[in-house]
Formats: sequence, structure tokens, C-alpha cells
Amino acid sequence: MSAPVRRWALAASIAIALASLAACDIPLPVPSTTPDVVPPGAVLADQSGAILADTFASLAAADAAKQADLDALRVGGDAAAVRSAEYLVAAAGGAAPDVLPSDILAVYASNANDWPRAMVVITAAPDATLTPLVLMWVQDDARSDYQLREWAHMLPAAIVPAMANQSVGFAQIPLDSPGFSLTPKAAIDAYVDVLTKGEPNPSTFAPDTYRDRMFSARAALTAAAAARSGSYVDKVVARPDEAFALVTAEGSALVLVPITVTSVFTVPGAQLALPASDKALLDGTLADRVVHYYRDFVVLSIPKDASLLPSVVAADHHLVDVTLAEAP
Amino acid sequence: MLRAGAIGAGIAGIAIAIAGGVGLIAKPDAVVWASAPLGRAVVVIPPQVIAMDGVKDIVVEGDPWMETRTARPVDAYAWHRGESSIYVQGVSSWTEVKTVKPDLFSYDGKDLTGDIWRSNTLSFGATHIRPADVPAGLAVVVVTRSHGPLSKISIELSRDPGYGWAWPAVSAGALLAAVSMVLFALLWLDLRPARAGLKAGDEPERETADVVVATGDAPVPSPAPSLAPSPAPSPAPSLAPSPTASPAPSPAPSPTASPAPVPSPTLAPAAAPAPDKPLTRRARRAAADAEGAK
Repeated sequence: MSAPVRRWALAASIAIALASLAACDIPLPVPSTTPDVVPPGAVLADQSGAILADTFASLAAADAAKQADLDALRVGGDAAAVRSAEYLVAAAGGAAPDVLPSDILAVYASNANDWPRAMVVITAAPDATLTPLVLMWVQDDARSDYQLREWAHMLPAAIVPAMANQSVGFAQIPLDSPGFSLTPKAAIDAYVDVLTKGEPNPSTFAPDTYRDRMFSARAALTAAAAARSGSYVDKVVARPDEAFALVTAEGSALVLVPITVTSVFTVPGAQLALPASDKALLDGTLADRVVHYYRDFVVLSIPKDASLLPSVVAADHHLVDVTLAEAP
Repeated sequence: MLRAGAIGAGIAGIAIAIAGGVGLIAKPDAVVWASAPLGRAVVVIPPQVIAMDGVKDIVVEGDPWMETRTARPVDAYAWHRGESSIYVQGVSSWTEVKTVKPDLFSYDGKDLTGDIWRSNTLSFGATHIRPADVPAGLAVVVVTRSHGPLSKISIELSRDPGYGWAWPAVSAGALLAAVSMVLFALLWLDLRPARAGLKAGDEPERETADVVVATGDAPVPSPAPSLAPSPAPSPAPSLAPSPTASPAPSPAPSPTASPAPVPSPTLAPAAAPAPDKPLTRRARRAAADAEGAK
């Protein structure tokens, strides 16, 4: 074989060998970095629609049975307790249970990555004489359903700050988060202090009808007890473990906090009497002391600007129990 | 040169064509299926796996009724804690899916439902998860309704085998081989008769030239007499006198003044010695006339 032929043959062999080797080298695909979730909200419209539908179906069933089913997953916590009390009061001829409209004005959901998570819903006004309601659902963990836990009517002239779109979701922040005129925890403590001690001077919160009514009732009952050498005491305790602080679209904070109010009316040696609606909740024979338990729900708005006063957006005073003595 | 070129083109053409053929034979499939057994009631497919390059379809088979759910990864992972689950981590080869089984086996059936799911579809026998159908960033969880185990997961992968050159190589090799064959044909074919026959048709001008040549007697220094094989490099075949041999057509009659037209028998290089050329009829007649004149 001549030299040129050998050279060509060598080149051909190399080409064939390379062609064969190329078959062995296709890289395997590997999982990439985690893509961003789009959209990031924890509860999108379809999900919240299902949650609301289930909840209002549970409520409708409970309303029809005049009994809150504690096994009904969609209503729990204070909402179940308040609803149960409302059924008893209504059955005794008292006020009818609150109407919770299923006509929804807005749904605000969390974008949190941990639990518990809150979902806030603004409903339409039940009728022309009432204001819209703020309802709060809570999911305790990934395997739990969202439950309706609290509701309260908006106060007259109150405004819910603009919130992030549901598909984006609002940020849940710890109660000690700075960046507002007060931290959420400080605002809760300050408002409980106001409710307990009465209106400070100067006021630390914008005027609201919730505390006005509480102060009015307190004044009347205190006067009535004092006329018979008795006493009337309100004990107000916030439940921060069940509170949520949310960041609004404008950078302020919305704080949703359950509050327990215990009212003790005592007239030594007297035989107290109660309205029929309250009697429905009483277990025992009334003597000279009566204790009313309330599960209130308060929605506070804390502005970003320190020169502005925090205000109450929604609040309700819900009677849940009447006893002869204060629980230990 | 022609011969070397023909051999080179031939070998190169065949080699390239064979390499292309080998490439076509060795070319891996562009679409493959990787699979793995599951054996658990819940399979979690993270978004990174769904977003892997080349994933076309993910098929989960098993207990007939199954729910395919999507959720934010953090929600899905939090939900599945405590489940008898299996995680998909990617592929360990082109035929095998990589999975891991967490050591948590306390299945709690009542928690099949949940508010964390963005979608939930029911399927029978097998469920297909196509990346284009899953919103970006979501994890997929497949759960059997009866809590029975799922049997198998398969991932359809497309890939670039890297053999796009194979068909062009086969084509180029074939073309080179064809060129080589043409060159060989030119080497072995004797085209001289055919060319001579073609040149024989160029009469009118040559007739005049023959007459002039027949009557002239002026000495012409060169070229060599046309009857003899020309030892000189053959000029381009032409009826015109060579510009190097005779600067101008000489009007002087010379039996050898005009070199006999030497048709080039082939395209062989000019340096090759001119082979014996068959003389045209007119040339023979002119030569005879010249001989007679002497």
C-alpha cells in the first residue's frame, strides 16, 4: 500500500472510531434549581371558593339544626362557641344568630410557608342596618382544613386597608415586627389596656364605637351595682397566640386578635335576675353574683406613619356563657 | 496527480460514508423511558424534576383509582410528612428513575383531603403528568384512593443524540466516491480517437492552410517536422502556428512551415511526451506533396 493510501486509510479509521465513541457521551438531565411558584399565594381563588362553599354549607346545616356541630371541620374555635350560644339565646326568645352573608366582597389569603395561616374575607352587609363583616379562617397545619374561627362587624366609617391580591397573598408577620407606629403586640397590649382602664388622655387610639359601647355598658352596670353596694368588673384578656398580623398593600399592619372579656356583677345578699336570653346560657340557680363570658374579635389597623393613631376596623362583643362564679 | 486525487477522493469518500453509517447505526434513540418501581401509596414529584430538561411525560401506574394533585412545594412536603411515601429525585440513568423512601410510614387516611391543593384530578390505572400542564414551581403528589401501593413511575425523556452529522457525512462520502470514480474513468478511458474525430470537422480554414503549406519553401526553424513525433512540449492544440515556434504565419512556402495540427489526445499534462498521432488525411496528403516537391 502506498504512503498516500495509508494516510487516507488512517484518517478514515480515526473518523470511524470517533463516530463510534460519540455514542457514549450524552449527559443525563439533572434536576434544576427550584422554579418560583407562580402565582405564589397559598390559597388561590379556586381554593378559597371551595373553602367558602364548604363553610357556608356547614353553617347552613348548623343553622337548620339550631346546633353547631363541633365535628364540622369548617367552623371551629370562637366561631363554633359563639354560634352555639347564639342558637341557645335565639331558642330562649333572644336575638337571632348573626347573619353571615355568603355574598363575598373580598378574599385576602396568606402567602406564608408555615402554619398556622389566616384567610380574611369581607362580606357584604347583611342588611341595610348593619355593616359588612370581617371573617377570619385559620388553617392550623398542612393537613387541616381552613376553619372559620372569628367574625366581627365592621365599625361605622371604618376602612379596611388595601391588601395584596389573593394570587400574591399577604405576608404574615410576627407580632413583634417593627416598622409601624406600634408593633402589633404593643398595639394589642395598648388596646387591651384602654378597654380595661378606660379612655386615656390623650387617646392612644382613634375613636371607635366598640369601646364606646363597652364603656357605656360598664358605666351603667357599675352604677347599678354601686347603688346596692355591689360591684361590676370587666376583665379583658387578649389571646395573642391566636392573633395574626398581616402586612397591607400600603405597608401598614392589620392585626386580628381574639379577646376574652369576663364581666363579674356582684351585689352581696341580693337575688339577681337575668333576661331570658342570658338565662338560656346559665347553668344553675342565680344568687348574688353572675359572670358573663364574651369572646370578642377585634381587627386593629396600625399605620406605618408614627404620627397617625391606630384604629379599630371591626369588632364584636359575643356572649358565649353565663355562670354563677368566675372560672378559676 | 489525477491518479492520486482519484485514490484520495475514493478513500476519503468511503471513509466518510462509513463513519456516517456507523453514526447512523450507533445513534441512540432521541426519546427514551426511564422507570422505577414505587411500592407506596403516595409519590411526590418535586418541581425540579418536572422542570428537568427533556421531560415530556411522567406516568404513574398502580392501584386503579388515584388522585393527582398539585401544590406549592412547601405545602406538599408539609402535607406528606408521615405518609407512606416515595420521593422522585430525578434519573440515575437513561433507563432508571432515582427515588428515595423516607422512613415515615404512618399513613393517615382521613387526611386525603386538604385545602393546600391547587388542583386535584382523579384517574384510573395510570396518570399522565406533562410538564406543560403543571404551573411553574408546583409539586405533584399522586395518592391512591384505597391507600394501596402505586406500582411504577416512568419518565419519558427526549434528548439530543448528537448525530446530526451522520446523514450529511454519508451524503458527502458518497459524493466524494462518485467523484473518485469519475476521475478513475478519465484515467483509464482513451479519448484520443473521439477527440481526433471531433477535430476532423474543422475543415475550411485548414484547407487554406494546407494549400499555403503545399506551395511554400521557406525554411522554418521550428517546430520540428510534423511527421515526426514532437519532442517539444505540446502546445495547446491549435491550427495556428505556435507563437514560440513561429512568430507569425509565414507566407513563405515550406513543406514544414506549418506544424501539423497536433490534437491533444487527452487532458494529460503538457509535459508528457506527445504520443504518436494519427495523421489526418489532409496532413498525409500535404506531407506527400512536400516529399514530391523535393
